[in-house]
Amino acid sequence: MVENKRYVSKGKYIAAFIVTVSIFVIGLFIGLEFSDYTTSQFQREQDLLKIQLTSVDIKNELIGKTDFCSLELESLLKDKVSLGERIEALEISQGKDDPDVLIQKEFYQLVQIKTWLLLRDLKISCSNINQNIILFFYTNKEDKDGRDKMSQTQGFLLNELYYNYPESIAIFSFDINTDNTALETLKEIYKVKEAPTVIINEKLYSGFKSSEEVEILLGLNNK
Amino acid sequence: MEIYDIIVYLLYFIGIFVSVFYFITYFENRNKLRSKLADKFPLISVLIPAYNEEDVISQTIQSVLNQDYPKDKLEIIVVDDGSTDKTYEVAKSFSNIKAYKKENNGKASALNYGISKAKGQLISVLDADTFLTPDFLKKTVKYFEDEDVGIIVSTLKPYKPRKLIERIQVIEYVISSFIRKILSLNNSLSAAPAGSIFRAELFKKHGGFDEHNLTEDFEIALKAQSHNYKLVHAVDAVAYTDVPSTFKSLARQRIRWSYGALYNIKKYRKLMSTSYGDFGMFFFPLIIVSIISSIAVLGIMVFRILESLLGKIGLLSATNFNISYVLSQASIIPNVTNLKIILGVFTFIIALTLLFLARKYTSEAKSAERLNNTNISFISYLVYVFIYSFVLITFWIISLGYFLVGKTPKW
Repeated sequence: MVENKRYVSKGKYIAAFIVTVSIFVIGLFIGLEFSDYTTSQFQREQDLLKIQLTSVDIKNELIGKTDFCSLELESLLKDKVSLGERIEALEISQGKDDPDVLIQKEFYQLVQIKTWLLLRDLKISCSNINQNIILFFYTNKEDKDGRDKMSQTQGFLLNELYYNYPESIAIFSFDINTDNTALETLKEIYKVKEAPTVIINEKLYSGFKSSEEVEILLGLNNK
Repeated sequence: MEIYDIIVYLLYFIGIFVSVFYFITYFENRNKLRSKLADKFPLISVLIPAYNEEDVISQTIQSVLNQDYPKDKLEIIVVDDGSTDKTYEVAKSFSNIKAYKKENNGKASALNYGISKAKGQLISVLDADTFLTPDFLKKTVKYFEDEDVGIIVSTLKPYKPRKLIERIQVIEYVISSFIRKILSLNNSLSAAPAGSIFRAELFKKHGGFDEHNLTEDFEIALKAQSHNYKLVHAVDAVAYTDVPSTFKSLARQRIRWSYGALYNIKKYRKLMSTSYGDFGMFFFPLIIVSIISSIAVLGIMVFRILESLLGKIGLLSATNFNISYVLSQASIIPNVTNLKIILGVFTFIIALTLLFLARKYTSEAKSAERLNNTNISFISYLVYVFIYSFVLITFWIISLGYFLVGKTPKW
């Protein structure tokens, strides 16, 4: 007669559960530490950019109009691009709706407005500055009409343009859903109602624009 | 958190929980994993059912004759299941072998025929292409001193693998052998493939193999579980077997195995109860959970890859096929959060440790490994992880399809 007693190893299940939960908690902890590190790196860069922007402002006031046009714009615009890439990386790792990410993004957009204002002034006053300025309004909120997808593709196309003509274009991207008065004012000034919308050299174009269309509008299409 | 995230975290949780359970079992029993050699030698009947195996049968018989076990305690029975070649004649040419010939009726029927002729207290069941290592019986018999033990299962390895598809199966067999050892330590083993040894009493009391079953070895193991026998895995008792060497034969074998597994899970569903201890409460239901989880993993991967590819194709057409630009975009990187990456790293470490332990406990002397060609290259491991495992899941999906529409796959 087989007398193999069957039992449930409760202790082992509890131990395995505790260890598994601990692994999750450790994972979460390391993950948070890692994102704290990325956020602080990001903040440092943003602070540096803020300092750079402010010093350009002050420099402008100090030396007056004569030297205004010889300002080094390139590094400022490069910093803006790298900041944008970091925001994107943060959105991927932390999630688009993460409150910290949203705050960083809001500030980034303000920095962009400031950079844009400076560039616009330069363009008006200096003959040697002839960059095309594009303001791009997008949405990444899920949308039944597919505006999020259209915005995403439009973003890719604009990035591609920048990739092809880095010297001739400056792109400033804004999330249409960001609740910020400066941004609201910007939208009001240009009467931006929907996403995607591009403003190319002060002219508004609503809806998706293909590569060719944008290139023609910019006068870059040599085909 | 999206539903996708919830599924991913749930899969991680299940995977890590089960692995931790395995490791706890391993640490509890790490000094008891190796088999003790027999000091008493009960009569063993070795059954070899064969159908058209004239090329390999003599090697199988020879491996039994080479056993380090008293010859007068060995009864070798070959049952020719209606072969059309010279299997019977080859078997008959050995002295001290009982060879029988019967009408072709399938492996289970040949086994039952052999059982009816066997005199041993223990019955070892081999396939005609399964070769035993010389200390095989000596390493397995001692477990039967525990009266509750009904079946001893051994470690099976592919025999002299040459092609990549065979070499990958070495990894699979080694890992599943170690996991079987862990399962047996939890009294939850539910497989009795070729190379298993049965207490003859089990057949006498509860009948032999189910002749209408596609996986009679799984069925007999579940039957033994249902009668509360212990199934023990002798991880260091090694037998070699021929494995499929083409994709088609592999597909046929695995679809049959998976289908048989589903059929028998349904047949023995009453075992899912706490009265069968860890087996009934955890390990038997875990088979179903594993099937569902594997399919979910494959589903998520396919979905993610398709999503990314479609995105890339869309982007390619939108940018007039500017390939260098599209490749420079990071959109192919999925939405991976830090936690998912870290859990992925943990899972990878766990898998590597399991593989290391499996290799350690199923390994033989270096000379034997060289002779049998079971030293596996790094490329085989890569193919195993990134391709083979998903191929196996695909076979599961096909079998599930057969099962749900009530059709039996071809043998």
